[in-house]
Amino acid sequence: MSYQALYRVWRPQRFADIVGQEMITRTLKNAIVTGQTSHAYLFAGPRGTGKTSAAKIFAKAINCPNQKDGEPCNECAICKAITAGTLNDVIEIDAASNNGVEEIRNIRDKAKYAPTEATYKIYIIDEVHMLSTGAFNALLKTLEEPPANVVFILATTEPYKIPATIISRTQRFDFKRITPQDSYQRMAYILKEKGIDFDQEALKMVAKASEGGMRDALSILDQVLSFSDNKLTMTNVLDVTGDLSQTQIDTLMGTIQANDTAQALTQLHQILADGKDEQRLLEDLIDYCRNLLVYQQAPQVIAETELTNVSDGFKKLSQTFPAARLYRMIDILDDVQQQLRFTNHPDIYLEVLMIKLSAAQNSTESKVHLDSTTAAEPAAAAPDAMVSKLEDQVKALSQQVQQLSKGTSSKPKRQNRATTSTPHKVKVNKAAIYPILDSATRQALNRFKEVWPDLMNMLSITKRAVMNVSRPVAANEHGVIVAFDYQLFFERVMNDQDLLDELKAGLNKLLGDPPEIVLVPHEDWPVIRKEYLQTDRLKSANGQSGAPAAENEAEKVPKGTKKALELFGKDIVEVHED
Amino acid sequence: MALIIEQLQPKLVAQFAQIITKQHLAQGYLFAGPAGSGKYELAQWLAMSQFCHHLEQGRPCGQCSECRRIQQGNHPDVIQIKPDNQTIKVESIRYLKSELYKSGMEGNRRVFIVTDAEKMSVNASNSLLKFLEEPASDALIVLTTTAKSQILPTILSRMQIIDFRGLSKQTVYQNFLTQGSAPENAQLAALLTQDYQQAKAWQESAAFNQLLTAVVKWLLKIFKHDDEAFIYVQTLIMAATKTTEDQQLALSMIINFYDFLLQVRYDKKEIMNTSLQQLFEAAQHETVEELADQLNLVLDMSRQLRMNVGFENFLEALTLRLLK
Ligand SMILES: [Zn+2]
Ligand SMILES: [Zn+2]
Repeated sequence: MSYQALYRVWRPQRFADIVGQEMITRTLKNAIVTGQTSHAYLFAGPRGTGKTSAAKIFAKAINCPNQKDGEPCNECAICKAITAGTLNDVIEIDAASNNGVEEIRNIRDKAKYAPTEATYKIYIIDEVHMLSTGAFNALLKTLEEPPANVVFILATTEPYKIPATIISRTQRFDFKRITPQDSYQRMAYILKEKGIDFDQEALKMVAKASEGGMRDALSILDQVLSFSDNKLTMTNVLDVTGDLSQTQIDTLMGTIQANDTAQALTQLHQILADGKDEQRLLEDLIDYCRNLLVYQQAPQVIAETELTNVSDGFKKLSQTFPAARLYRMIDILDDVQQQLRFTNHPDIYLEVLMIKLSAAQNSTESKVHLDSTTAAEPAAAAPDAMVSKLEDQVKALSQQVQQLSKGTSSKPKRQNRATTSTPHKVKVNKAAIYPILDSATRQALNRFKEVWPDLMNMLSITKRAVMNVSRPVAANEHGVIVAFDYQLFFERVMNDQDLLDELKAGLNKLLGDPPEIVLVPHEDWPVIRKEYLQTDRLKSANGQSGAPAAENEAEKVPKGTKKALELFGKDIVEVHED
Repeated sequence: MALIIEQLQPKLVAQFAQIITKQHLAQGYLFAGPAGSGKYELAQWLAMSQFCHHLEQGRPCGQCSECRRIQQGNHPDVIQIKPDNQTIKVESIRYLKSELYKSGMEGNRRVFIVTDAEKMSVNASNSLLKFLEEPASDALIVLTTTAKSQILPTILSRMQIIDFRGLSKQTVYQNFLTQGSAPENAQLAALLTQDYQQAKAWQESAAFNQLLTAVVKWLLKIFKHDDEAFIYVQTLIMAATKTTEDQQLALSMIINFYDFLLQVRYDKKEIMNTSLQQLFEAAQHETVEELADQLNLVLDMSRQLRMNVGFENFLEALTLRLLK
């Protein structure tokens, strides 16, 4: 009688149904086809990325008598029983509610007995990080002497809480966050199957709101459908996600830009009366400011990376909002966002916020204006918070520059309207980069790449907004080089010790030791690599030979770049070509 | 007789009526929003809709024996879990789970309402997860919370989340007028509550008026930058606040009066209440920025109250900062 949630009805039944994890599903299918399955797996990754589904499909595929190319048939008695959760040989344990030693010992005792109906007995332990220490020890004993024909699949959202001794006994798969594009595709497929019309922009909005989990996406979709008349529209989606419409946010930002506080308050009240969520409002505003900043630097990027369109209102604002003001707004918004979590008066916080965003600027400008007309020394006469903050930053920077005196950075050649008011050019720290490059390996880089999305997830939304344009580009055992798409963000992060500390602490949590983090602007990175490769250091650095991934390219490139290929993979080839 | 929830959240009621008509009801909902916004009432309304003898276009009648039993909390198939000593223990959830897999006493349909779900311990939350993953076919579960951010993300992703919004102060003010309040009283009360009965009770309460006078006198001194405000903390405000509820009310007055003074600068609405008028005049010389900063300070410092700072200490510290 009750309606079945989409995420349950459309739960993947074949590896091919699992979205966004092609590498993993291919490897698992191969293992089944070739009979080379492991006796213990660790499925790690954020919620809603397909871990439990993959575990159940694996259980079916390995036991299905009609298994084809590693996929289960989903028709035979065994497959059906596993889907229904009634096969005795597939045991699902929720470590969250069964986290004691007794439960695990019990498993250990029972695991000894051969499977009764299926070929393999499969234990799926969900949320395995919740096990107690004693239970982990008991589990370790079992994994050390694995009974024949038993496979353990451990699933977790928090792999760093699992003892290394356990992890080393398993074959580990890291499930990736689902990209909005992937989740869009899957939802579009489901809607077509159900014969439901949808507005593409509206569906993109659902994909964006779901933050990398397929289950979240389907839950939101479900809710939107339940409120609407068999058609998915933008209005319905915004009702559910609590996001502002493009027009609403364009208008509000325009009002703030025009310093019209009374109007900003009226619009705020209207937005809240429409049922928008306070947190979403803040997030939407932060996103908008971030996008304006990026757009000012590189308009094409917004069009490429964001799923939404660039509206006319947005374009207009990008020309009139000074970058410094946007930064200040992001700071204020971030502050309020932190406070909002602990207050019973979110509406009042937002009212004060509107006044600050629109009125504070007003008074600063009028002060400056007054000063210049009375012909006083303008800059010195208006030492408002902004100016003194900038002065501090400049001071900190010049100190930094002195420390880095060795590094003669390539001259950043961009000149740009948006950053003219920010303190100038932070230099790249080559003294820190070269030692990392000396012992950099592809493997070390992959290690950082794997945890990067988790790291981003640990940051607050504004910090994430800034770091979203970053990615690890090279690493050794103890350090990582992180490139930023825009000079602007590179400078901002270089100046933000808090954020740097937070990144380090996050990586420590995820990887078990605090690495050195060195930042570079992405546009300078090819030059830095090139310079490095031309130095003498390369000859002395003990390059391990021939990375397999590089073999194909090896003939096309000069001999000396073997090491380079190993470190940077295909990227470097492109660099040499241009 | 229309149910209260239909006035409190007409849009949500309409949406749910449609869902019920379409038989598109999900198995788990999370109702999130401020106190007094009708979360529990809507949960009850939903429960009624599942049993009502006279369901019309997805809306329960609120009158039949089933509806009544639910309103009185006597329906065997509507099971409620409330926090016990600030937490919902894993035993309560175990009980819930064991109940969930039984079929209804009188029919098949069962409804479970967990209030203040953010108070579930991590273990209790995790136990609930498995149920949400494989819900008993005929159970509907509704969680309510005032603190959505404190609910486990894994639970959030399995529920349909409905955000409840409080009414705007303007709407509350209008409601109070329609229900018979004088404008003078309605304007002040609407800053502090959405509940008309509460507003009416305050009007006749000597304790409330004593507290109001105390807070207003204190604020007047603050706006005059008069050190006597510090003394008023003891002699007036503390004397008028005997319980934690009184203290909450005093804080709410301070915050909302400040907010009123700020808003009125922009919306220029007519001031009908004498206390508010007094405050408005006394605060004339403060700029908008100064008022906003002061309000910010109150909001920021009031967070200390969550960290076991006593109300008196908080107020004294606040007074000193405001007088600076
Ligand atoms: Zn099969
Ligand atoms: Zn009824």
